[in-house]
Amino acid sequence: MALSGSLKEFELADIFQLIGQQKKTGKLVLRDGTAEAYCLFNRGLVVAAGSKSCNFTTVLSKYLTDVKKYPEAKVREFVDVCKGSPAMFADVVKKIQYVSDDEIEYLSQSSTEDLACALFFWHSGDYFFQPMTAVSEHIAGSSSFTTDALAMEAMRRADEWQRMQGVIDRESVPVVADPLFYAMPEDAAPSMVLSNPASYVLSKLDGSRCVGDLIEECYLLEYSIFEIIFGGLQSGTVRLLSAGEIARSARVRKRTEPAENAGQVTSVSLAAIVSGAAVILMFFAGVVIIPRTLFAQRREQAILHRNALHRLSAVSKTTIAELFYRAREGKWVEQPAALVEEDLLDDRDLHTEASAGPSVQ
Amino acid sequence: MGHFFSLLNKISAARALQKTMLPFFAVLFVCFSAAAAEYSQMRSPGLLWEDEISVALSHRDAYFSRLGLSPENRLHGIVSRDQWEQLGAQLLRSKEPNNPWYALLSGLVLAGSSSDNQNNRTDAHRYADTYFARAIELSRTSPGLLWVLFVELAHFDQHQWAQKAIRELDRLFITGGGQSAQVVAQPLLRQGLLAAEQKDYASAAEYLEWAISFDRFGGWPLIRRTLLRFPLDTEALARGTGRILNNFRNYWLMQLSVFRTGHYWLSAFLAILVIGCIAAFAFKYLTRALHGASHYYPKSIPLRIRTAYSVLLLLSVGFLGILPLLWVTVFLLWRFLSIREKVTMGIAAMLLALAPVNTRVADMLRQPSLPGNTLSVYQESLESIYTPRLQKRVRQHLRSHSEDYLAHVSAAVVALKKADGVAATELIRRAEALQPGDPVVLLTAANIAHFSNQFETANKYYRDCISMFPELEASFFNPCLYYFGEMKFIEGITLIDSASRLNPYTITSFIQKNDDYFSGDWPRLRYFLQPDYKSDYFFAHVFSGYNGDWRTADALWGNRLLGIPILPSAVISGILFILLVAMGHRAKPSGAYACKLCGVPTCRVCRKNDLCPECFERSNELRDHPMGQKIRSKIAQNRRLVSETVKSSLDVIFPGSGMVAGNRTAAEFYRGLAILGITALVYSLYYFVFTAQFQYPYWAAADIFGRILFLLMAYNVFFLLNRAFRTVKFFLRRT
Repeated sequence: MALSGSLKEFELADIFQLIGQQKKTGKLVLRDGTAEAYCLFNRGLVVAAGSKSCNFTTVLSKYLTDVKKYPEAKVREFVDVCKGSPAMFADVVKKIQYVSDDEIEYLSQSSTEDLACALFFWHSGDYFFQPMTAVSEHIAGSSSFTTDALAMEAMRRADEWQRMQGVIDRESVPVVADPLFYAMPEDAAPSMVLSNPASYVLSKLDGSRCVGDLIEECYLLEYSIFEIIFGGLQSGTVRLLSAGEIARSARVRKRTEPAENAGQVTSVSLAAIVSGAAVILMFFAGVVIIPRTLFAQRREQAILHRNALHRLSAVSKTTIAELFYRAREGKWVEQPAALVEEDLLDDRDLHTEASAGPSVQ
Repeated sequence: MGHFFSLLNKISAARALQKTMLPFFAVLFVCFSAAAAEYSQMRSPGLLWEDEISVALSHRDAYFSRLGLSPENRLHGIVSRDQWEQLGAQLLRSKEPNNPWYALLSGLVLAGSSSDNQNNRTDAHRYADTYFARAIELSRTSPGLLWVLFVELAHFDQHQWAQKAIRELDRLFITGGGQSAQVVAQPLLRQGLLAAEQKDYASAAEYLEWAISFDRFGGWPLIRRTLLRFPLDTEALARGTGRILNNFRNYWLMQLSVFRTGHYWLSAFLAILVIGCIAAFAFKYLTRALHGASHYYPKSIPLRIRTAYSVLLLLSVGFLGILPLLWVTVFLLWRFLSIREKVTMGIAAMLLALAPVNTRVADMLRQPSLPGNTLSVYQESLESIYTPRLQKRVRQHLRSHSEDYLAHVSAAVVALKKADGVAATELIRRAEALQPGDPVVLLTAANIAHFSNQFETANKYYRDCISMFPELEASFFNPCLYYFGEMKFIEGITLIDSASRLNPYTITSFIQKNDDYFSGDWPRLRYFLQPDYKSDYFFAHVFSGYNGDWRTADALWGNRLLGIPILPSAVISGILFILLVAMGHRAKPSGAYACKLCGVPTCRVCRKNDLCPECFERSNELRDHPMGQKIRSKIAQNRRLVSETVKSSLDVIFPGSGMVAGNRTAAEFYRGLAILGITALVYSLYYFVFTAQFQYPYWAAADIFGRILFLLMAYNVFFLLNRAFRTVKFFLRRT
C-alpha cells in the first residue's frame, strides 16, 4: 500500500516516524501547489533533503564561489553538466580538488539537517513516499540522521523561528558592533569557515547587506543565518540598522563600491576609445579629406556626370507636368512637390541630390 | 494605289503573326528592357512646343479672365445649371466667333446644359459638337492651341473631341517630319491609364494608341497598350510584342538603350554577387584572418571583444570606398580559403579588377544620349519637327564639331525640315566629303535631291544606297513615289515590296498614316522615310566614334579608388589581381588555427592543446573525467547551435550566403553558390525597381513594378520560412 496523503491529516513527524520505524528506503515528496520538496531515506535514516531551489548542490555551489572563490560561471557549468545531481557534482569538484572529502562531509551534514528540518515548516500540501532500492546515487557524503532526532530538532527550531521572526526579517540590515574584531581574512582557510560559521556570517555584517542578501550569498541556509544573527543581537555583538542608517549606508556603498572587473572594464574601454579614434580617422579620411579636399573637383564632376541623364529626364518630365498642371488648373504650379501631390509626377521623377540615386552605371 | 497598300497589309499581317511565335519570356524581357530603355531617349534642354503651349495657355487664361473665370472659379467650379447659363450669357455678350476658346466654352456650355426635354438636349449636344469642331478648326495650325484644347476636352470628358484635337496635332506633327513628342505622349499616356483605371478599356486603348504615335519607339505607351487587358487580350499582347520586337530589331537607339539598361542591371547583379560571395567568406574566415590583429590589444580584454574591434577597424576601410574595402578583405581572406573557395573568390576578384573597365562600358553606353554628343543631336534632328530652337542647337553643335560628318547631316536634316533645299544641299555635300559611302549621308543626300526635284541625282543616290546597303528599307521605299509619278508602277511596287519585307510595320504604318491624313496629297516631307542606321552598321562603324574615351569615363569614375584616375586604377586593379593569383599556390597560414571545440580563431601563441584559452580553461581540469567530455560536447554543441543560427540568419538576409559560408561538402557549396546567384538576381531586380529612372514619370510603371516587387518579396519570404523551419527543427532535435 502506497504511503501518501495530506499533511493536514497526518503530521510530518508521524510520517517520518513511520518511515524510520519501518526502515524504509526511498524518497518522500511534499507538494503544495507548485512548491515541491523531498527527503531521502536510507533504511529509515534521513540522508538528504532539499527542494528545487535549495539543496545540497546549491549549498556546495555557494560554498565554492563564496568561500573557495572559484569562478561562478565555472561552477555553474559543472552543475549544468552534472544535471544537478549532488553525487556527481560532489564527485567532480572532489576530482579536480576544489573541495576535500571532509568539506563535502561537513557540508552534507549541516545542509541535510537544515534542509530536513525546514520540511517540518510545511503544514499544508500532499505527500507521497516513493520506495527506492538504493539512494546512494542521489546523495553526497555519508551523513545520516534518525527521524526521531530530526523531529525533535525541528520542533526546537520551530519555536526558535517564531521568536527570531519577531526580531529579524529578510529586509533587516544587521551590522556587527566591532567590524575589525569579526573581520575574516580574504584567504581564510575553508576549515576555519566550516568550523566557525558564526564568524563567517558575522564577518559579512558590514552594513552593506540585508538578511535576504546574506541568504543569497552564504552557503548556510536561512535558519542558520537567522540563528547566528539572532544570537549576535542577544549578545550585543550585532545590532540592526535603523531606516536612516540603511539609507546612508546605501549611499556610502554606492560611492565606495569598486566596480567588478574594474581592470577589464578599463582595458575594454581604452581599447574601444583607441579603435573608435582609428575609425573616426578613417571616416575623416574617407568622407572629408579624399572626396571634399584632395579630390573635391573629381567628386563634383562625378556627381554631375552620374546624374546627367537623370537631370535631363527630370527637367523634361517636370516641364511637361507643369504645363499639364497649368492647363488643367489655370495657374502656375508653385512648388514641384504639388506635381507629386497631384499624381502628375513621383518623388523619384524630381531631380534633387537626394532623389538622384545611382544613375546608370 | 489602294491595291498596293492592301497587298502590303497582307504581308505585314503575316509577319506580325510570325512574331507572336516568339517565346513569352522573350516578350516579357523585351517589354521590360524596352521600358527601361526609355531612359535613354533624352532631349536637349527645352521641350518641343513648350513655347507654343505657354503662349496658348496665356491666351486662354487672358480670355477666361475677361469672362471673369479666375483660376479658383474657372470651369471646374461651374457645375450648376444656373452657372452654366450665366456663362452662356457672358459668352453671347463677348461675341468672338473666331476665338477657339469662345468656341470651346460655347461647346462646353451647350454640352453641360441639362434641359428636361430630350429633343432640346439632343439639339444642344449637336450644337456643342459644332462648336468643338469649330474650336479645333480654328486651332489646327497651332500645336499649342491644339494641345491645350486636348487637355480641356479630355478634362470635361469630351473624349471623342479630345482625340480629334490630338489627331490634328498629329497631322501637324508628321507634316513637319516629326517622330517623337514627349510633351504630347506623356499626357496621353496618363489619360489612357486613367481610363484603364475606370475600366473604360476602349478609351484607354485609343489614348494609348495616340500616345504610341507620338513616341518613335512606342515606349511605355506601347508596353501599357500591350498589357492593357493582360492576359485576357492575347491579340493586343501578340501585336504589341511584335511591335516591340520589330523596333528592337530595327533601331540601334533602342538596342543601345536596352544594352545600357541591361548593363545597369548586370552591373548591379555582379556587384551584389561579388559582395555576397566576399561577405559569405568573410563570415567564415574574417575573425580567423584578423586574429593576429587582436594581439595588439591588451590580453586582459576577452578574445571575442578584441576580434570585434579588429573587424570594426577593417570595416572602417569602407569609408574610403567599397572597392578598397573589398580588395583588403579579399587579400585578408585569400590564404584561408580552400581550393574551390579560391576559385570562386578569384572570379570575384577578377570582377573587382574589371570595375574600371565596367565604368568605361557604362560611359560608352551613355555617351550617345548626352546632349553634347553628335548622335544625340542627330537623333533630335530626326525626331523633332523644325523649330528655330532646334536649328540654333544644331548650328551651334556644327560650329564646335565642324569636322564631324554627322553634325553636318543633322544640320542638313533640319534644313530639309525647314524646306531650305539650298542649305540642306550644301550641308550634305560637306558631310559627303567628310564621310563618303555612309548610308545616312547617301540617303539624306538622296532625300534632299528628291525634295529639290533633282530626281536623277536622287535616284543615283538611292541606287548606290540599295547596292551598298540593301538592308535599309528607306532606300527602297523613298524613290517609289518618283516611279509612281513616272508611271513606272512595276518598279515602284517592287521597291515597296522590298521595303516592306525589310520593315513591314514601319512601312505599313507610314503609308496608312499618310493616306488617313492626306489622302493622295502627301506633304513633301512625308514622301520619304527619315534616314537612320541599321543596328549592325551602327555598332560596327558609327558607335566607336561617339562613345567617349577613358577621359570621359574618368569623369564617371570619380573617387571610387581613393581618388586615383580610372586608367591608373585599371592598372592597379590588374596588378592586385595578378598578385592574388600569384598567392594562389600558398597553403593555409601555418600560424592560424581554430579551436577544436568552439571554432574561435587562435594561433600558435594562444592555443593550448588545440583549444582556445577559454575552452582550455573550461575543460582542462576535467580532462580525464567523464564530466570533462560532457563539457567538451556542450561547447561543441553550442558552437553548432551558434553556427546554425548564424547560417540561417545569413540565408534569410542573403539567401545562399549561409550555405556558402558553412559549406561542408562540395555539393552544398555549389548549391549555395547557385542560390547566391539567384539572390543576386533578385536583389539586383529590387535595386532596379527602386532606382531606375524613366523618360516617362514613374506612374507609367508603378503598378507593374508593384507586382514585380510582390514576386521578389515572395522569394525572401520563402527563405525566411524555410530557414525558420530548419532552425526550429535543429533546436527540437537538440532538445
